Amino acid sequence: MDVQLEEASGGKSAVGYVPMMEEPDGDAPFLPAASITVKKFNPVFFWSWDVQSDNCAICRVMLMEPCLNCQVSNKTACVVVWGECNHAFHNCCMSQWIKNATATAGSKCPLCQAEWVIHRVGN
Amino acid sequence: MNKIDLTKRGLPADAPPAEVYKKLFQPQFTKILKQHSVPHKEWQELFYDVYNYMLWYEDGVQNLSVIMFEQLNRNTVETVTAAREAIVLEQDDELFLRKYVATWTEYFIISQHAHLPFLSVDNGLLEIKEYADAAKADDIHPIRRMLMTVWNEVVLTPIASRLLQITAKMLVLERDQGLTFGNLITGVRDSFYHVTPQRDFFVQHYESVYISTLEHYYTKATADQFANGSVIDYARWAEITFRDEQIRAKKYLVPSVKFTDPMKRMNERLVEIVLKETRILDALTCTAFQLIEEHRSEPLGVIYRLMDRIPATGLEPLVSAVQAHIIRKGKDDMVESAEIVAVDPEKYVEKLLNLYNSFLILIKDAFGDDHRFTSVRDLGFQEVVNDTTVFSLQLRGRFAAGLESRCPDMLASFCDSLLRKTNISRRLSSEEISERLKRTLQILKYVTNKDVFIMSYQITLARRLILGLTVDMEIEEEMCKWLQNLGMPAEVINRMVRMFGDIRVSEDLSRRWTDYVESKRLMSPLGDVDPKVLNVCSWSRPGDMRTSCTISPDIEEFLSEFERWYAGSFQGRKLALAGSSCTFVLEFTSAVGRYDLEVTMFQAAVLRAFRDHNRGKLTFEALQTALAIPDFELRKTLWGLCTIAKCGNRLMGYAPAVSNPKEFDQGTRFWINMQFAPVARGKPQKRGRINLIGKLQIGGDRLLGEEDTDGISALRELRIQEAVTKVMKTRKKATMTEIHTETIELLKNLFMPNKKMLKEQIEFLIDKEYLTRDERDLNVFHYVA
Repeated sequence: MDVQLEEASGGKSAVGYVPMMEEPDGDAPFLPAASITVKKFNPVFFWSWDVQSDNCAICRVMLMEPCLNCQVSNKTACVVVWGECNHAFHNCCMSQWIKNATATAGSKCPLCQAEWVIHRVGN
Repeated sequence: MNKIDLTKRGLPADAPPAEVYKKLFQPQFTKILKQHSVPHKEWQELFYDVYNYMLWYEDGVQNLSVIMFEQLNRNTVETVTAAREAIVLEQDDELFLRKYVATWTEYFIISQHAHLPFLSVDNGLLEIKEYADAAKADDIHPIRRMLMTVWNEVVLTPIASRLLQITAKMLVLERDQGLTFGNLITGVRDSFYHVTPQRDFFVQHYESVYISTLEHYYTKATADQFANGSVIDYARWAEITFRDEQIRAKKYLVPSVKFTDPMKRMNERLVEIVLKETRILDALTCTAFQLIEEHRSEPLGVIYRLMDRIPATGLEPLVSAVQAHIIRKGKDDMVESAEIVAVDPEKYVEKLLNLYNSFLILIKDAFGDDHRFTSVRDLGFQEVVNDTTVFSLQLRGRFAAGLESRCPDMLASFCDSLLRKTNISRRLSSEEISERLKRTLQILKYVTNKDVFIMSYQITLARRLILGLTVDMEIEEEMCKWLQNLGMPAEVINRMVRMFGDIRVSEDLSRRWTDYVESKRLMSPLGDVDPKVLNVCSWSRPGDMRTSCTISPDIEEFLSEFERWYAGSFQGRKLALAGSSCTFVLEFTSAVGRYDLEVTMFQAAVLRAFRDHNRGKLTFEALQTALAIPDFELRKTLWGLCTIAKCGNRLMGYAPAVSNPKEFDQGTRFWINMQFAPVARGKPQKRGRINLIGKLQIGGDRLLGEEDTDGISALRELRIQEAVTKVMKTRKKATMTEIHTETIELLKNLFMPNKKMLKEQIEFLIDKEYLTRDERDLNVFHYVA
């Protein structure tokens, strides 16, 4: 391959070495496989709760964000709870809900009125 | 107490009061007036005798008081007349004045004591209406007043005009030659003040002479000074004059702390003579304008202090001139350097800061931070900062608000360049960076559309954190607090705080992953992997599309491994790869040397496509099918790789030539430039690390893109709805104007809502049945609970 190396002729301006390869005639690979290798990979993931609805039906805030109470008191660790019915709420909201509801109607899912049984808690 | 036995004093027991006075009281009283010494015993006896005689007198104490008073009066007139004769004998003016003042001073001191033995006479007189009324308007008792009145009638009035003439002469001498006649003039002043309770007497005689002397003297002096020197010299002279005359008037014109009106009148007169004459005032104003232009604080200060003496409107021309100057200077500066400044946030902010500082200094030095000037400084600067002539930002969206200044965006970019690892931040210490940030925030205070700033700032912050470009985490977090203090909305600040927390959690996670990989001895074709897992809510913003592309098998393998591992550590979470935020370091071997390229995921995909396809040249179509990158992103990526010259060099070539990425067609051919080499000092380098991310995502695309401005208008609509609902919730019923002003109050830290936008949003709220219009008055709204 013909590499042109020219010294810069005048000062700092980018005139000197202008290495631009002409368009190759064919599409023959001139690139040895090893000439591009990955040295480092910085993947970025976004995680979110595995839920069907984005909002908490109790406090109306996105499940991904801390619930209203936690936002006010500036707590960040506000997790999500799933019931057997697969409805999801903020754990803080749901425990408050249960606390308020037991006296009258027993603990039920506010969305489907099924008996509230915790399936799993996010972390 | 026994009645005095008059017979023992050589008087018949039924001697009339006048006789008694002459025999018993007159000798002592005359002695006192004449300042002869009165032995202690006699002085005490006088008290006793007067009191006793008055007490035992049987024909009415009031009559007796009047008789005694008349006697005292006659007695005083005699004595004082003698004194006058002695004074008028002096021919020489100064001696005459000295004699007068000396006699007066003595007399005045005596007058404070001479009446004391006759207290019972005073009391007797005060029971008579005529005297009581006179005493009410006065602060001294009848006998003492009588002493003063006698002095006035017998001495002062006959010689007043001569006295004043001499005094006037002395005042001129004092001004001209600096001689002082302190006690003489104050003596005259006091005598005019004390001889009568009528202040008019002082004003009409003494004060009017004083002021006419002043007028006469300064009318001439002013004309001379004005004709024979520059305006600034004149101003300096005037300032000294005011100071001197103030001191002089305090000495000669204020007889008592309770009576300072003459001082006020003197000041007014002097202002009229020295400053208010039209040609002088015009000259001063013109000079002041010029001094403002030239930023010459010291002489400007002199003129400012002079103008400030003119009551009410004196400073107005100066104040408005300063405002006009700030606005004009600011805009001119920007327009002048529009070309450099418009593309370079650093230069722009630098320029703004310099401007701001120069105004700050001017107003501090020249006007002593007078609040009238600081407020126009703020107004003026606000106008400069929000000016749209040089850089403007067109907000799109349904309720476009028209043009807005690009300033907040520039400020955000500037902050970014300080907080990101750049050539600028590398040269600065953390203190210097904080200092600059603080100054930038100072300017931000003047910006009306702060929401644009915070939006931009959030985006750049996210980029810095994700790409690990932050210079100093402490400063970042500090900055967050400063923004909060500036009144930025809490939710934005919270979100930023969560970003910091997220990054820390993610770093920990990354370490655990590395440990895991090492323990399992997994070999990855992807080199070092440093994953970040972030909470979707804190990072993505409205309009953030999760762009994807075909994922090569090696990445796929990593993803499934990582997801498995992640699911093992957490419950109930799902992961999504954020394609547009992932980065690679690729090792690229060209014909010249070997280089590390920092690239985005899309760039990596394009570059790796040539290897994977084992082709030297690929068409747009081939790349598109192979990579499945969205059309727009692919064009942008290719255009970047083909056109952005890093170190005077491009990584890829293409043909046929086009002028923008939209013109790439299916057949456009691309190839990798195998002669790529970064150039330093005119020579190609064999090794090097080249960052193509910064140039593409941050450097080239620094200013707000179209999607962002869409986001901003959408956000503004929501903010307005929120504010209106808030207002209505508390008020229940409000007129359009009330809503407008209160909304502005709520939102002013973010942006200035305009009426059109507000009306649209109110319509929207009415549609949604949050509000209703009043049935009778279309301008009144009700809140619907």
